[in-house]
Amino acid sequence: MTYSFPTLMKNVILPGLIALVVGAPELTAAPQIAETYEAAQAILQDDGYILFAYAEDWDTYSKEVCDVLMASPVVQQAAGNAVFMRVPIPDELTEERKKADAVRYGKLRVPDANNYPALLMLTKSGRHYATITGPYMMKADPEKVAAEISKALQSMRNQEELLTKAQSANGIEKAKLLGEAALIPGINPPDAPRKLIQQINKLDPRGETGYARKLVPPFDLSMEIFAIESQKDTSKPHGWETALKTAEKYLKDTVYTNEQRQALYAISIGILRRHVPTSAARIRKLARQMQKLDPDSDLGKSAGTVIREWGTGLTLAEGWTPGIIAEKKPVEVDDIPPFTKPGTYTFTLVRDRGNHNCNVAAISLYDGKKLIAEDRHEGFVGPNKSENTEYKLEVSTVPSSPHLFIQFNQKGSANNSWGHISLSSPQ
Amino acid sequence: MSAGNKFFVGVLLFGVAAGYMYSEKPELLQKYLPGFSKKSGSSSKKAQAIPGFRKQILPASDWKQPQLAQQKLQAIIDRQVKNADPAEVQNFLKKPENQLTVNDLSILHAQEITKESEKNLHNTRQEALDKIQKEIESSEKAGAPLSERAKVANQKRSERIAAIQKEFSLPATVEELAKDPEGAKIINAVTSDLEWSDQIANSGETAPTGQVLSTLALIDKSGKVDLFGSRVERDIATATALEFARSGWSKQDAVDRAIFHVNAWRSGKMNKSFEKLPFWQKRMVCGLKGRGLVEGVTTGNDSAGNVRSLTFSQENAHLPSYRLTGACWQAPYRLNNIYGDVIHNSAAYFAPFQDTLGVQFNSLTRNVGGVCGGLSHYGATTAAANGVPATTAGEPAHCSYVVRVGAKWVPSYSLSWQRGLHWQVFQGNNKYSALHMADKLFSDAEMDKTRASQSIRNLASTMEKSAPEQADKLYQAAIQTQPINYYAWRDYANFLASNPIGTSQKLVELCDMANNLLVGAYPEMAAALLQSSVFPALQKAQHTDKEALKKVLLDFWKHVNLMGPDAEWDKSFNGRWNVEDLIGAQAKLLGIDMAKDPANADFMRSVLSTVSGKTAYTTALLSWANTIYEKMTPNLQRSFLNAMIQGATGGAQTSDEDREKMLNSVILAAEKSGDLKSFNALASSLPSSYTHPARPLPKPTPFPGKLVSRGGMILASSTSGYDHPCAHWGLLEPGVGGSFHTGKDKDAWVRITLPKQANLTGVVLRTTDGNLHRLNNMVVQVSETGRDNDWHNVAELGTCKEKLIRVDLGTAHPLAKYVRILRKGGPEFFHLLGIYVYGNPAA
Repeated sequence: MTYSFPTLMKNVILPGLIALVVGAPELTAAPQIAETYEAAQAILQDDGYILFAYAEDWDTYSKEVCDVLMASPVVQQAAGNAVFMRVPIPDELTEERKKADAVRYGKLRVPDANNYPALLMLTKSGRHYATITGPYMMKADPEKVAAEISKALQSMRNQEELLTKAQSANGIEKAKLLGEAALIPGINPPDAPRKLIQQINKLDPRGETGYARKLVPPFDLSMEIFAIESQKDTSKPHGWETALKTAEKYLKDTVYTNEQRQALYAISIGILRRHVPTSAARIRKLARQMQKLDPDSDLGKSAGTVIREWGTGLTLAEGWTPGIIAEKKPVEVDDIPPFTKPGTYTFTLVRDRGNHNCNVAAISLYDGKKLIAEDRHEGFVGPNKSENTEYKLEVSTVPSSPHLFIQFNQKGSANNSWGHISLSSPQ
Repeated sequence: MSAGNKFFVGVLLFGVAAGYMYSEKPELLQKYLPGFSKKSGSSSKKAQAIPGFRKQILPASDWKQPQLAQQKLQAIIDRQVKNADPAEVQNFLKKPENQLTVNDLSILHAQEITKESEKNLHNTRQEALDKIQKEIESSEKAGAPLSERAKVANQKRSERIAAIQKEFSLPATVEELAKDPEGAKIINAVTSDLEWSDQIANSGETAPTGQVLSTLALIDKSGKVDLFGSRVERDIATATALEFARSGWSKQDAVDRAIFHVNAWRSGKMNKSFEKLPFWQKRMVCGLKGRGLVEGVTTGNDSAGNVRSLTFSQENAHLPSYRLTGACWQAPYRLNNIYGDVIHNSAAYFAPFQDTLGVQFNSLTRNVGGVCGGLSHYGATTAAANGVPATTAGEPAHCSYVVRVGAKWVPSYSLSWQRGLHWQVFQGNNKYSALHMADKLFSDAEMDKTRASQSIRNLASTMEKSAPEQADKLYQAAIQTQPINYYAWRDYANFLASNPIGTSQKLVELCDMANNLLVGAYPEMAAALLQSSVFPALQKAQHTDKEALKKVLLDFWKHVNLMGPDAEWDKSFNGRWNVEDLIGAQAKLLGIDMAKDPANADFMRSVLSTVSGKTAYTTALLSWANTIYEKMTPNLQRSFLNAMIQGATGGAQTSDEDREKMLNSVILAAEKSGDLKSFNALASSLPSSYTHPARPLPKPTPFPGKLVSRGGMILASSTSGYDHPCAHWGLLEPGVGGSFHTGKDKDAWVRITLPKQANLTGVVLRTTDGNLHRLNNMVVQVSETGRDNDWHNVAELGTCKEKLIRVDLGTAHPLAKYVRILRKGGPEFFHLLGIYVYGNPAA
């Protein structure tokens, strides 16, 4: 085994010197290294294997990273009694190489990693339970890697304990143990979720433990609900209405995990956005609930964008769309103009594009729930002609809680119109 | 430990750490101990010149007037090349300074392309600028305060305006560049270096040289790339500059992209094989999907090759070459995202995640999902991020990609042989064979011939207007010097098509040259050349000697042999190119309306008898003939069918029995070559006893979705004396019925290739009436690739007792392009009467 001097210096000698200076007896564990499956069997203990997978001569750093980590006392300490094995990954996998690997790794199935270098953690029986890879591996940061190993190893020990208990249990108890083992965070479940669900359903046919539902991958929930949304059976209510009700029903079921609930919020937001043009306020509410569950998750982080992009309904600046003007009820304007002084506020309809007219019946201003100004008359803008496009609101007192509403008045389904509303405030 | 010892160890540690940082991490030293740091950047390093031939032919100051410089170089050449005689030119090019002179002339000549390209780019950018400014004005004129959404949109618009204006401010032509000291430095360096100038003039497709040199000057100015001391870094910079300039992409983005690859190389994260790649493949790596923010209206997430996207792949998908072929599957295949928005509305699909995952196509695709297009872009750009050549490729209703693994091109996530490359080594030619031709063209063994041929071609190009007869001779010499130089073939054909010297006689001679020099090894490339550049010119020239034309067209088929350079390796999945297109174009050129003209039978007979014995071609041509046959009047059909059969069986009159035998062999050939199109087209030639049997099988109750196996094809583990390939088509047709019958195979199987990928809902099997023991232990398997090591069991059927077996796949909905029924055990025969696969076609 050869190391470059600087890498050795940084990751082995320096920590060693530091240990010498401050004294650190815990940094002295000896690694158990095996080159082959056969050799590994002789020293294999409860903590299974850690395979150090690296590029075999197709990059210039990952082998060194693995060598440094293998030699690092903190990594060795964190790895318990796991057996270390080197797994060089070739650039091309020839038939000869496959045969040689089959001999070297024996019954051990070396899992593929999405990224190298990687630490592949396997149980004593050879089950793959965790992969450690990513930026801190690339930087050969032994402290960080050791912490990850420790965490994964402890989780695996807990999982194995539950599985051992499950072997001697039956019915609901067994279902519960299997479910708990499958849901330990940060490591792989002991089997594919669909297989586990089948197994748990047999043990717990009435779903009392809830684990079969908890194990449904969030994306499967969306597939199920979107299949309902796209139903085109005219004898039934709109598919999207049933789909939305299904998502709401699931959200009431407390069994579902936060991750699943976030998915259900996202599903509901998507349905509302596609089918209910005036649902901005509902979308905002759902997005906030989704965010609250786990602000650091992908969906939690997306909530802000959702609120900004979809949680804004009709605005004067962005204007109307065919979906908005189809609404039969008054539509609230989201970007309330500054009603800073009494006087006449003139709103003018400005057509941007589209084949049809946009008809408006009234523009009304409320202060809280009280109507304080309104201009109610038939006006329209269209591709060929526009009439009565100005709506004047006489505001005598400045509202403290203004709410502005526009009542569109479309005829039939002729809604192909886009436009915005310009405002002239009192000087 | 005593205080003194601690002090000593402290000093020791400090010294060791500083020494380490000085040698290995200068950026840390710069940060923590600036006084001790090395100077960074290429300019401060004592440049160790890259070995190679150097001579200054013209000083950079001459380049301020490109036309004058061009004349000076032309005069140097004219003094030594009097008659443009090929031997004389070849002799002239033996001296490196003469090669350099021709390279410099080519670089100047490409200045004309620069001007045209720059004008177009300027217009595109100006239009984009106007459009964006109008969008901002429109959002502001409402009079109300801007919503958050509008503010964010306007901020993005302003960033794009700034980027476009920056691009406007950069020099783009050689004249502009020569006036700038940094630019003059690059011009001097490139035009006095034989290898460097060769890369720009001859390494592949010509790019606007003003933009190439301008980009190189910007890269040099960044101080982050060692253009003068490291060959790999210079290669990266040059390859990037060439590819970005070729596509009219932003120079700023080119600089970022070059720095990305250089940093990857320096840190050892690039595949080591990159260094040894031929330069054209380095261009492929550095130029793949480089669209940036400033190319007219292109923005945001569709830029899989932007540096942030590549960085994501480098940090999260550092893989060996062979695993890059499956890298696409790191991203989930999702038509709808978690919000239910469909990928085809990509703005909504990625919108919720853009603020957090950023404008990083690969990060978005891996975290949110995508379908074939997104996944293949992820796979190909991940390969590029690792320094491995790859490109995406279009297939019918699908997108795949191709990766270089060792010495092979490996089609990845590919469903069809009909693939058109998105990155083109020969501009305007998207054929898969182009990669194999370029492999040979730029191989070490061929490089001397190629370089000479490219120089002669470049000389010819400079003479097209001033001395067309000399240009004609030189183009021919370029082809004779290197017969697989597609650039020379294409440019010559285009020259003949656009110059009065290009008579129809000349064009026919060119066809003849192609037949003799190109068709045998690269039939697809020869066909592409003829169809894109020669046939349209011949059509325009209204060739009168039809017999001579027909002869040269038929000769094409005489020279074909294998389907192409990759046919052997790839034969289970394609081994095929679009012969139907070529024969259709030939018929059109001869003025034969294949559906109406009685001459069609004669033409078909002639073509088929010419390719007789070359089964792959016979099969494909018969398939095409079948599609024509369906459109004919009954009178014409009879003679045409005879012509088909005569052609396919060597001209003999055939009985019904022989006809069936011929069809059997053609069907088996179609199945073995994976030719789904021919397999289905041949169904129309089947005797009616196979398409409308006297005792059809009853239709089974279908599973939800569509019958996705309709239009598919079967392939069994073997055939036998009991097998009737004419009955294979009916096997997939409910209400018809058919059969297959293998030999006594161990683990026998039958594979169904679906016409499209589908999420399966169920499979129905109709067993034979007897010998059910042969059908025990069947396993239904699915695969997206059909490769031997990529089958997944979806149902195990155990002992076979039923005539009708229904396999419900309703909960799993596996995605598949191939379904296989594996009969475990044996050796034993294996047979079924019906296989019906149901599901929902994937996007």
